Amino acid sequence: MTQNQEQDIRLQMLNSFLSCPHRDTDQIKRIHSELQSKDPVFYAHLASWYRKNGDIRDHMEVFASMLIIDSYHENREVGLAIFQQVPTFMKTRVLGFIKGKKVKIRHKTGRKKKIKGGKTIDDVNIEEKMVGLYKNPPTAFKREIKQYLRYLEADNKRFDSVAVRNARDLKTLYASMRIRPSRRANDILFHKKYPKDSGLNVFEEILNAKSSKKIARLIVENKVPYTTAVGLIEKITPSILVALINNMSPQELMNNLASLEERGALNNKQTRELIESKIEKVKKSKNVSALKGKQAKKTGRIKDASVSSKIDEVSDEQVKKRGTVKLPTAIFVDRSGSMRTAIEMGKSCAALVSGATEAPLYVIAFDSMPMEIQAKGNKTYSDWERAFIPVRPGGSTSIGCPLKALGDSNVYVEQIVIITDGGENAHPTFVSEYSRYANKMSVRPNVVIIRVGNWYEQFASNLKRSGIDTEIYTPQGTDYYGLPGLVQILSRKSKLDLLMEIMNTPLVHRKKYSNVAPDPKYKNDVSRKVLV
Amino acid sequence: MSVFDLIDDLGEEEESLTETKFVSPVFHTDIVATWVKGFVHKLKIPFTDPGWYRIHPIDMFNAEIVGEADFIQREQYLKKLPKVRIILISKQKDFHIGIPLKNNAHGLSIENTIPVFLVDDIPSLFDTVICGFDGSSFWYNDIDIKNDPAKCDFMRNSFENGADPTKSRFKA
Repeated sequence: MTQNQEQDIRLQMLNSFLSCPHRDTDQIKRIHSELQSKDPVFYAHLASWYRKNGDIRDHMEVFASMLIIDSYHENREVGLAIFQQVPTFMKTRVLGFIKGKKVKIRHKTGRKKKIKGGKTIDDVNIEEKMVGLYKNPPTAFKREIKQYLRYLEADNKRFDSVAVRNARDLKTLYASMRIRPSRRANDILFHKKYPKDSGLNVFEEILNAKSSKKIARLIVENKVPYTTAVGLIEKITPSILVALINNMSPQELMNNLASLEERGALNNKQTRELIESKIEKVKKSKNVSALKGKQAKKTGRIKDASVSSKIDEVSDEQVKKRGTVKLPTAIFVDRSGSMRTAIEMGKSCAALVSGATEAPLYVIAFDSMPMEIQAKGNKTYSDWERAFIPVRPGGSTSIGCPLKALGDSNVYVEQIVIITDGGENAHPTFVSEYSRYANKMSVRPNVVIIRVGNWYEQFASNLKRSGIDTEIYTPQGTDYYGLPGLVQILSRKSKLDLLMEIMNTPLVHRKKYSNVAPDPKYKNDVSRKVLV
Repeated sequence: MSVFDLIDDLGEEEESLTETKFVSPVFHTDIVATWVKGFVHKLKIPFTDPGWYRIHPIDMFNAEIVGEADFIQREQYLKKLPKVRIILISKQKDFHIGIPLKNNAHGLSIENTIPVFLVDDIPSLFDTVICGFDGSSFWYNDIDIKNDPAKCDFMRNSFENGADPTKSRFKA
């Protein structure tokens, strides 16, 4: 294997972090398995790094699964440690991926359809597909699951708090691995008989409650999770809505902001304060998709100016968590004929990087001439959207012209992001302008190419032949789950820095469970048949 | 104010809802909405003909129609809604279609047509009417008397004569 091939696999892996497979984990299985077999040490470090910095759960699921069945003992330990750290629903997903599972994949048809209540939503086709590794779970993995379940069983409160949200996942873990549940767990999960001391009795109380005030109080007092509570309630009244808002997780609040506004929750002073204080908390939350808020704003359903500006703050803060771009950066957006995708990508990149940069940022759209784009105001996504209005695709492609413009204006940049298909067909070319710029400004900027559309290989190979340090990324689609990964790439000085950072990330280790319940024994038990 | 205080406060308001009556426009729906301390609260009513009605909540989720709302009650309702001026361009079975005036405060596009409900006067084609906008529907209020009737006449004549709209210019 050549050095070049090795680099390509790592790069492909980093590439795949820029797009989200949306549960179709078979899409990323091949690249994971290739990297794991060729460089298992790097793969384990990458998994540990991704656990800390990654956003996409599908990758986390595949990392844990691949490592759990790895033939290296050290890697298996990393896989089990990741498994130990992920929440219960992810544990079930990892188990499913190892054994092979059916997933439902939603494809947007591009059409809109009207639903009950007059609302218009995207029409989707649901495809069922088998994904996974189709392997038998190793004994160490089974032991880890057993330890986890016994750990939950050891404390009733702990068990109930997990069961209230993840009853189905717990059932899967017990049943798939043939682990005998404790009597209490068996009653709760498999017979829906809730012991008197169980917090799960609140479900029945909620179902039987007659006044909405009582339901709302029960939801808040028992901390019933939003998703569970919504399933229990027939109709939502204002008091119940307040209880639901109070119990929403940061991500749930961001997902439901538009609907809350439509229900008038922002018209009430106290509720507005409650929502705004929760949005403030979202800034610090680790489990929020960075661009979720911006995406919610893009739908145009959030009209409240104060909430809207708070969402921008949250998104920028979340993006900053992924890294801070400290190098002066230029983004070149190809606006030549048929480059509508590049323009769309340019908007998102500009909004993303401007929220995470501490250094100057220059955004230039180009065909055969450059055009600087400047967003006014707080440089939020909507500001960039406005700034990009006059940018329309058309004309020939001269990737060197924006660099020439930078050189002529003595603008110093250390990093250039080019969003293009690489179909350079007009002068000045990028390679010729690069050497001129490097001589004039005494700097050799790193070049990051983000390929869109039907790309041409020629441009990237010209750059490599001329000795220009180039990284190429080919994101699949432009969805907002993967895009924050771009900041992680741009915040490092070069790809080598990023790879070094990954290799320097310590491997995750399993922790010992502090308190584990003993295995249940039913030797002289009349109900044994039911339990076995 | 704690969450529990807020819940109690709203709960009391919800319980006292049955002691109230409110006016609402109804247009081929069995759902009407009212406010509870700023929140939008929806209630189910029996199906009825389109019109303005006085509604009485029976419980938290259902309401009955007490009777038709009179002119003053309807005026009071519409007074609370922001006003939009719309030029009517066609009449459908039981509603009109119009285009909002160019410089409207809601940023409504003049390229899209919008339905105007419960038009109980008999406006002519191209008349400008004032509507109340509740955030989703446009409820007819009155004909805009400030609008120059000669302009409407000119548009009607141009339309009837099949004049080219790009070349038709109204001179006041």
